[in-house]
Amino acid sequence: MKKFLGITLGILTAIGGFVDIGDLVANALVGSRFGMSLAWVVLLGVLGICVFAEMSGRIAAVSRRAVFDLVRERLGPRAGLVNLGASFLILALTVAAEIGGAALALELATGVDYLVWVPAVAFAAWLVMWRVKFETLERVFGLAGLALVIFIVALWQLGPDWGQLWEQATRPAPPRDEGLPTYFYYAIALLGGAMTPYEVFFFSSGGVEEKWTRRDLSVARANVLVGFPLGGLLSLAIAACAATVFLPAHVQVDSLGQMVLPVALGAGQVGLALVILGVFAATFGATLEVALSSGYSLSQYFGWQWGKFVRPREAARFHATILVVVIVATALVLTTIDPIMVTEYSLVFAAAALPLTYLPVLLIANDRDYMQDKVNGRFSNTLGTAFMILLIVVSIAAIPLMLATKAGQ
Amino acid sequence: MTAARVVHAQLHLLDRQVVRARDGRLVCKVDDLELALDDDGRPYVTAILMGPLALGPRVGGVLGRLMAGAARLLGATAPPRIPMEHVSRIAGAVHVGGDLEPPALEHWVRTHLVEPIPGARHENE
Amino acid sequence: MRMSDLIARPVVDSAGEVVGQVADVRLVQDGPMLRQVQHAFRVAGLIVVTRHTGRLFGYERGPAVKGPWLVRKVLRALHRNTRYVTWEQVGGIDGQDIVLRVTKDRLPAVSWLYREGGP
Repeated sequence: MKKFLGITLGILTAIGGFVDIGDLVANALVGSRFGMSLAWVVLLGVLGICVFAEMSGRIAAVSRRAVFDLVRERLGPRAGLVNLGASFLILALTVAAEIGGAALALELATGVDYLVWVPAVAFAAWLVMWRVKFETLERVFGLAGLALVIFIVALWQLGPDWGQLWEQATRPAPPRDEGLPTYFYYAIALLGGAMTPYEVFFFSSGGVEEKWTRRDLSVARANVLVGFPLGGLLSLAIAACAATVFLPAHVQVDSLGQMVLPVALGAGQVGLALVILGVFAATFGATLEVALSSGYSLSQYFGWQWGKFVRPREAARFHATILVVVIVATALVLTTIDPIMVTEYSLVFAAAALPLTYLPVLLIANDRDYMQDKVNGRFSNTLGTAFMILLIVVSIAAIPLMLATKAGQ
Repeated sequence: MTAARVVHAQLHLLDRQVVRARDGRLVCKVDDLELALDDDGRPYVTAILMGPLALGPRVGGVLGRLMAGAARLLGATAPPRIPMEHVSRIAGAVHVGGDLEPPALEHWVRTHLVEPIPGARHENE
Repeated sequence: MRMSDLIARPVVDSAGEVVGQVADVRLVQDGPMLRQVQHAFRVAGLIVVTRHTGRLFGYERGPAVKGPWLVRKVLRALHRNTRYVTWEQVGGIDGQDIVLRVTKDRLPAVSWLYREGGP
């Protein structure tokens, strides 16, 4: 059991990456429009995030340096600041979206308008970050998010045509009524979702919070190898549910209420209760992950004391950053801006900034100053380089594709 | 005595994390290095400089000036420095000894914003 | 004076020709004693790049630099004209520029630092 609890950091990180509010809806949307024909992107994203999260976890365990330390150190103050500015903006927008998502889950559960829930959700999230120990936080919300496994059960109960799903998955091309640019636009959005930089910000900082040392390298690896594939599996299950229920009916999913519908059809009342719990836990967990990441990245750029492993007064600027981000994000959701749309845009902007985060990780993972004998082997370097090339292509294509397809419409 | 150690300013020192050797607390980044001239007129490193007055000029542009300007507004005149003789180790982080004042911004945020909130002095539960 | 006053500064040789700009500063720990505790890091020389890109990503470590093969190749290609200037070859700072006492063709490639017979 203790061993199992040791990997909740990876699970929580992956939930924030693969099934947070933006991805929950994006996965269902992609399933309803493209069937399983984009499944390969999720698999590619799982592999990519595993490669870089493993490196960043190893760096954190050996040198106690988290990812934004590396960004500042290898890119220098100017390019580092560009990355910080872009990341911080995306993080603040995403916090807003996740708070909105958790409030929407409560609306589904109670019927009370989500705007009423927004301040309560935001305050609860802040209180958890202010008072709750990191290990407790990661265990409670990592495990609660696993309620989303109900999507896999529901898929089973729906009794889909497995042969047809498999055929869609093995034929990576858009369906007849969708264009190639739209197909690639969603491919980039899915890859950007799978490899969002805040996953490595959070994962590596979490490793430092848990005081990983060289002896925990196997724990770090287990976190990566269980957490991210599990996140990928959940996101595929959501897409498959949507492909089964909505694709034949030509219904396009664009709300949380629609997205949970296949579970109600497949697994009944209990299933519906579980999925709403799962959505709440995943979005609330993602709120914590993203808001903490904003504190981590700003503090690590400037070299401030950060982390929940010291008393809040010892890391005053870190806690002040989180407080301000939560307040601004709450104000943003209360303007009734659509939280789901916000993450869809920020995912694509995040995709454009991916190389700025992953290149320093790849370089430091080869630096003996930091890593001593634990530098990358040939396997990590080959995969890391291949993904660097892919990410550079993606970062160049992301924004033009968004403009050309009017954000996938 | 072995050969004198060789490091590169940009690669090994600038922008690295500074850590208090005693307890691993995070202090700052190496925002810049202070140089003096020896008897032969050759520069050598005398101190680590930190804070917006050191970082601002390196960032440059409007943002850099804004950073430095904000620090001056809060009454800073020169960047805080850590003398090089306090540096005990240069690796993935720069380890320093001695006691250091908390930076002005940390101090201000601590006394005005964080400490008034209940629980600021407690360990997390 | 600060380290950032040296880094990114343009370098011209004794004939007035542009060599490039300072990318990094090589420090050797054999300077004056600091409070009888340890030697100071003294500026031994400048690494000068011809490109505007500036950052070397660890290329100055020479052949010992490890890393993905492709990244190494790219860095090597980008920085094949990188030169090393010893502090003794520096004449002084004239306005914006660092002026050398020697001409450009007398400067060794940075890889000289890691060969036998180097400093």
